[in-house]
Amino acid sequence: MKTAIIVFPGSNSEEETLRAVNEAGGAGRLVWWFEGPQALRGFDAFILPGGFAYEDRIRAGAVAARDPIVAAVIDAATHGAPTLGICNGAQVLVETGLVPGTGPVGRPQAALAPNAAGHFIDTYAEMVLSAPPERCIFTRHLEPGARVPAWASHGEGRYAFRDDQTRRAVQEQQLLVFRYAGENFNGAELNCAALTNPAGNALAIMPHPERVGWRYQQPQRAKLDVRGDREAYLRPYGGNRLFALFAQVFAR
Amino acid sequence: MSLVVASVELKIPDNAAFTAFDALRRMGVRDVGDVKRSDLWIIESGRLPQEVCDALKRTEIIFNPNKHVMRSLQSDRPAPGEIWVATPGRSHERERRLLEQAGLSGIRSVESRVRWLLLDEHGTPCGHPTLERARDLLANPAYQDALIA
Amino acid sequence: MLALSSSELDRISELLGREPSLVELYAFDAGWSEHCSYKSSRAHLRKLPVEGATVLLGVGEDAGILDLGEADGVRYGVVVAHESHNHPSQVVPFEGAATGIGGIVRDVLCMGGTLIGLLDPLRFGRADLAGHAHQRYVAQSVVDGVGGYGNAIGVPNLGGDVYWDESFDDNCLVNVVALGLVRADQVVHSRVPAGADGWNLVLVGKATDASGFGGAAFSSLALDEEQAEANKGAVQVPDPFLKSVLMRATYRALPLLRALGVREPGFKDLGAGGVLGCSSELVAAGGMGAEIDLDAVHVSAADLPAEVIAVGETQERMLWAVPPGEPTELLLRIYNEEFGLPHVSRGARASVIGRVRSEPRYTMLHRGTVVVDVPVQVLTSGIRYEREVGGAPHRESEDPRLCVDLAAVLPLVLAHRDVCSREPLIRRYDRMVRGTTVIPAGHGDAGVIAPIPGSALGVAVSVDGNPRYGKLNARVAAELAVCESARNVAAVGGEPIGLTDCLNFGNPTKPAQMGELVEAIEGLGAAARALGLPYVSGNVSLYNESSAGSSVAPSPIIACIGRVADISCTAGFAFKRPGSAVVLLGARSAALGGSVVAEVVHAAGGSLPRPSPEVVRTEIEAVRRGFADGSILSAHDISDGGLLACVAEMAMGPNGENGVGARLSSAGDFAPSVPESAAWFGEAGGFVLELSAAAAEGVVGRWRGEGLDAVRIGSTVAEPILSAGAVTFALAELSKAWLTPLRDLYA
Repeated sequence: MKTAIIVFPGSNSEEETLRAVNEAGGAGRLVWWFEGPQALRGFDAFILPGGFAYEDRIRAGAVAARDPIVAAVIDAATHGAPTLGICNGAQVLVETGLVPGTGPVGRPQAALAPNAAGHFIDTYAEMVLSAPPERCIFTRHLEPGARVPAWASHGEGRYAFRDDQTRRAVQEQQLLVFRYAGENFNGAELNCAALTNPAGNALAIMPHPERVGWRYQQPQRAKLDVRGDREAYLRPYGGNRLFALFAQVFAR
Repeated sequence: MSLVVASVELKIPDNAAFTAFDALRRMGVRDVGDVKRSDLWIIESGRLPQEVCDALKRTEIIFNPNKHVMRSLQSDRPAPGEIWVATPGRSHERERRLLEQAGLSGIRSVESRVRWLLLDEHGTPCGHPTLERARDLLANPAYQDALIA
Repeated sequence: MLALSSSELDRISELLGREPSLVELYAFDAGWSEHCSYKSSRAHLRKLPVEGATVLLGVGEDAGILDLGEADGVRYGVVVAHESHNHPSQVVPFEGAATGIGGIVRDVLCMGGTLIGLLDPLRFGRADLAGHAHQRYVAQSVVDGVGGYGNAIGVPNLGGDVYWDESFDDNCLVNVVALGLVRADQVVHSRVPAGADGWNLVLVGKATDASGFGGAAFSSLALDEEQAEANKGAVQVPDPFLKSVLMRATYRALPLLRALGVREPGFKDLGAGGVLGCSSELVAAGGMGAEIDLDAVHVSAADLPAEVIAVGETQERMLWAVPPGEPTELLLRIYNEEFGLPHVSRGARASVIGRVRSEPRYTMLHRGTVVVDVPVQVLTSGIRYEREVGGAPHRESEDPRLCVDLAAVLPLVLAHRDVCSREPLIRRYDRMVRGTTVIPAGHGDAGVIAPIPGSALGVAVSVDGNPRYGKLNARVAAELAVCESARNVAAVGGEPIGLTDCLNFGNPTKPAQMGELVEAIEGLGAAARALGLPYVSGNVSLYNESSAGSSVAPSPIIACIGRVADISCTAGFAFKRPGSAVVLLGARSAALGGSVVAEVVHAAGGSLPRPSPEVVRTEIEAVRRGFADGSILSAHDISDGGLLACVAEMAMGPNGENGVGARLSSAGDFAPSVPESAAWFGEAGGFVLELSAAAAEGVVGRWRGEGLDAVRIGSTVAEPILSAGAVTFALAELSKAWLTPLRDLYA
């Protein structure tokens, strides 16, 4: 699957996201914002990586969501292209209204509001699969209730829904794909870590699976049994499972 | 009015205001010539504007004389060309505590807004259609309210 | 605004043979400031060791480079820079701390390096006390500034440290260390190469404005409350968004320039002295001169005076020297069109502002008038003073005879502001961005990264410097800081290969305070020579004193950089499993001066432990072997709080949830010659090691055979307890004491 990782001015996780895709067996390439929407032709899947697009000025994801290149991604996503937003990318997808996508096109139904604590938080944050695996194309190879390690680093990661109707729709349509396994450190509604859209082809995930996506990045205990084995240390692991889809042959 | 509205503005360049300006231009909002921004502190305490401003200045976290200027506004409603963005449910306990430590008594409420001022090429406040186009960029209705004159 | 003294003004006229122009005056003001010319310290800094087999590029350019080793047949260097931003951070804490990072990032970028890590040693006043609202504001806003900038540009925080002391009430210390990665054959230099005559000087970045005018001179003046407001011209405005774009544009430009055959472009950060300071040093370093057209500098307002354009210290700017034609056009296209700097920051762009010329003369034109015309070395040679060096105060005394109640005191020591968990502060920083982090900040004595994708080669790094020691004896404090930083690198499985120093001291015109600086440099030199480690970068920050004229605690802050041959042989400090042997490496001492326990029980006086760097070196080598052969499961350096606090931290783990306990024997069993309180809480350096039970006896026996002071002091256990002789603690209780203190400031 040819995957475009879209770099905005201020993105900062593009390199490791590209590595995560390629190590999972995919074929990724960085596409810079200045290459324009036409540069996305020929790609099957899209990733909006982490960072601070436009330094998140005004509010996280707000300016990037209005870039012409994002309009092209949303167009492809509404036609079924797998689209993954990680951290800042999730903020952009939510700002465009693609996720959770329960309202009219182009109208955000949710927000990634400032953390309840009012400041940036950097912490290990394991996630639990909270929807049936087949609900979202990025999780359909996982077992029900799977735990996926991730690392959260954000100041604006608190999922908030526009109104009760959206909240209900998210629950009834099983759009809440991952919850945090531990403490709800950012105050997210429903302890939400990741949301999909009704078609299940887009995923907006707040913590970073690619930051716990190799063995060497795992918490101390999870690498003790391979101490001294450098090959094992460098192998994809844990969070990298969320990139498995990109290795598949894509038939739209 | 019993409310005091203090506007705290950067006197060093405001990067966020420039980014808003550049984004609006790229969105095709052609009649925007400049964007200004300030933080508004809306405080109900029964105290005079001067007393409230002095207390805000003593908090340091809200106001540092090396980078900010402060003035009190006459109205608690947006003026022409302005969009005020509020975040309902945001706690202002910390600011209330800071103000109390700074000697302001009788505080009944503390609220904040981000005030955006859109000006055209001649420095005149932008009209309603332009503000409407800017509204969604400046506030996400899923958790924020945007108030327009 | 000029900080030049009248004798310095006379000296300028003498040098030029005429009265200087206004722009020249400001140029000397910046260039001769303490910040740029090290006029008090240079003669003494010569005593530091700066050479060694691990040095790829020594002191003298924007940053130094250490040899990391080879991966896939390519040799890599670690670029290291260490700076202070103390005075700006006291006046505008958020912006001051943020621009401190901004500046040092450019130092690394200009060596051709990719940014791979940041560390932030911080020293604050008594922010934890009631009535110290200002100190609290500074302590919170500095951390917000460090995070606000470092997080946005996407460089992982690898560590740092923080201390709280009344001597920093009026003058905080904000140091920053930045690391970069560069291929050894692709290092870019802060100088023009031979044959650069006629090359263009291309200024990239922010539009020059009046912010930061007078910065270099400002950072070299003592702070005065009233002056804080008057100094606002020197408030530098951080723009991490612009920096993030500049970094990526630069990463793109370097290989494309090489493809055009430009292997040695000149590239330098604009810091102190602005356009003039940077361009004159860039060309002078290559033995050449320059002509600069100030009208070609992109500015924020048309009416900026020539001296502001020439020496103003607007942030986020760098200067290239490249051949005319294609290379120049390439840079203009990348920065101005592809990466669209004008859309990122008002007026930002790349502009050709002048030319390199072979004659070593430096001229500046402004609106058709020559405003500077001098031999270039006059600008760059600086000035130095032989300051009067007085006796440094030595405040050590006889050690108190403590007999503390372990059960009551350990929780107090763990809750002390200099010992308690840093997690509430560290979690404001992004530790994992770039995906290279192996041991995050706060999880090991040093941060560890694997910066080369697909390679097991790693970098370990730690910063250290204890102000409580500095107040007692600057020389010994310096030695202790060097030893501790090297031990910290060893404690994660790294091999120390080099050092940087940032010397934060008081007023050099006061002989006693100058004496402290000189003694500290002697201590730094002695310890580094014994450890076989060179200094590759450094910084001196003077005039750190209160409005009442007393100096901050003398603070030599040291960073140690380590090579990790194989990241799979590293470990954080948490105990890994029950049933391991707990081994103490390093002799205990009766010294309690400057110790946390002495402060906790209000015991006055005391001496500092005297480190023996030669012994430290052999201990480090022993630990390195233990990591390589797998016998060491975890290691922790003994420092603030002493041995018992060290073991408690290993049991609690970085988040207090590790839950592997330990049973230790009585202090009388393993340190019979030292008073019990000093054995448990004294801060003589050393290691606590978790050794696999099978290997422990052999390893300890071998070490003792080599003359090392090694002794097994206990075992790890499955119960969540820590027992020391007859006293037993529940880990949950200790964790509560240790985890909570900083939450008040940073939660």
